[in-house]
Amino acid sequence: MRLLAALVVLTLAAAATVFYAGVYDVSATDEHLAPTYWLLDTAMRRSVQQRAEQISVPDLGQPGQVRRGNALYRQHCVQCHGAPGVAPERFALGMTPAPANLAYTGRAWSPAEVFWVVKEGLKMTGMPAWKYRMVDEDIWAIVSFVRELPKLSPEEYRAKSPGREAAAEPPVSAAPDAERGKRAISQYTCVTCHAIPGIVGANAPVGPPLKRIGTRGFIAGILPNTPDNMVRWIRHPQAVNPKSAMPDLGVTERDARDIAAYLSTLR
Amino acid sequence: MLGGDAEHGRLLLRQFGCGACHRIAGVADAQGNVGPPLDGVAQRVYLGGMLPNSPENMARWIRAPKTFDPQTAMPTLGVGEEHARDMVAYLYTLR
Repeated sequence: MRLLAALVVLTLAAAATVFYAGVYDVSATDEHLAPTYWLLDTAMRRSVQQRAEQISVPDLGQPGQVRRGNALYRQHCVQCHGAPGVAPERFALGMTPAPANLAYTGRAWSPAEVFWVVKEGLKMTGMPAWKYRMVDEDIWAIVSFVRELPKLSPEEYRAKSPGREAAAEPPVSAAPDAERGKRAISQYTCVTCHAIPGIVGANAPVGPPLKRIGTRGFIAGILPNTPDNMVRWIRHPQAVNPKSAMPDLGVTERDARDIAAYLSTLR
Repeated sequence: MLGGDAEHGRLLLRQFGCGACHRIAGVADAQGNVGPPLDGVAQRVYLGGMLPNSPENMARWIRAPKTFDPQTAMPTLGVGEEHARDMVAYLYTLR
């Protein structure tokens, strides 16, 4: 028993040294040790496989769907993942882990797995969740195109540019959903500027803290705090105050309603 | 900060009724929730959501908020320059 206690203390001390004393190198230029990479990669693959099992896959591969996926891929994916004969943008080259080459993913991963990763994103990899920015149908279109990627020569990829197509705006739900709004908050980087009770993250003091925002008199010191005004402010702050430092984050009507519903619970 | 007297500033924040709208740590009856809480305001990047925070800008904002943002709900309370400096000295202790 005493030995066990000593071991626990030693392990904690070692962990404290590595993490708290700053021994662990978090730089993107410091590659993972092979066992660390294996551990993280395996955990990620298994996690994705588990969750993708629940997803029912629609018909994939119709020409219209692939063309739409192609257009969306060029607007939102190629910047980090590259394409046949196309390098990722410079910023993406410095990422750790390096964004996957999807010509291989298109063959090696099942459509449900690719769908899940695009929709939910991957923590600590730089892969964002598209859930709040794309409807399922558009994500399936991208999956459809990713499955075609390994079959495309660089020349064909270049030739098949379909031009721009905007991602579809998700429908507004009947009643605002505070719980969904809470999840949406972390998907619009709100905590990089605001301290928000209930949301884990930087909680940085760039803008005011949102503690008790549900009962605050004014939004941004200007708008009387009503649900509609909150939605208006969240979606287009500059339309209310052109001088505001708060950027327009492209928040959809539905997400803004749900976020406002969550904020109104902070009393 | 700006040569102001922080303790005097704390008293002035009460005298000018700042607490009716703002929560201010260390000022007992400052529990308002009309404008944003001033907890940690020394670290805040923007004042009024648009003015980069510095002691000088904070003093100007306190004295004449509408010159920076005509729409702001914050009134001009007739705070003199010296009083504003004292208030800033106190608010800058809120980290």
